Amino acid sequence: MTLLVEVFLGLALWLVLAALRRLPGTANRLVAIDVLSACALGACVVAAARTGQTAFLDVALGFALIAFVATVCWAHALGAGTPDEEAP
Amino acid sequence: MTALGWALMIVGAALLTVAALGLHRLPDALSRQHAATKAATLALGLMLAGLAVLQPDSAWWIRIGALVVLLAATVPIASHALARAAASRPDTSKPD
Repeated sequence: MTLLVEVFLGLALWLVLAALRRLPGTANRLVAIDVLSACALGACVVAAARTGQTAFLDVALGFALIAFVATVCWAHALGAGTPDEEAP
Repeated sequence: MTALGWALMIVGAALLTVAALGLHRLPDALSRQHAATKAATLALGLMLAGLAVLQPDSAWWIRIGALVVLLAATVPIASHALARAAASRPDTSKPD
């Protein structure tokens, strides 16, 4: 019964990867990658619950920080516009 | 108590699946961002709450609390930046 967590996580991962392949445009892929990092955080939580090691939560903390900085940087780069529109 | 913890984790994982499904069902990047980030935040919160029920120890609760505070502080900022990026470049092409 508790295997349902892994089943749902795998289903979410498959859906996100299918969206990453199917959807057009950079903004859509950025949203998909954001959900992908949420899936990775969920996998960290499940690993911590399965093994009983708190180290997986430390990994999740670091990964959450890195995913946040990466998302904000990419979104800012996207919002700044394409380089051929305006010269710096 | 163990059943409650695993039930919370299962509901959280199912909600993450719903967030991933929203990427397919919604029409454009702005509404996809709207569905995905909010649902993923609640899903991670539910999974962490289930973990806190499963592991009755203060060493876990400190880390879980730090993670929840970090997620609650960073995910709205990231989703706001994503929404600005999605609104600033409307996608003209359609999914197949």
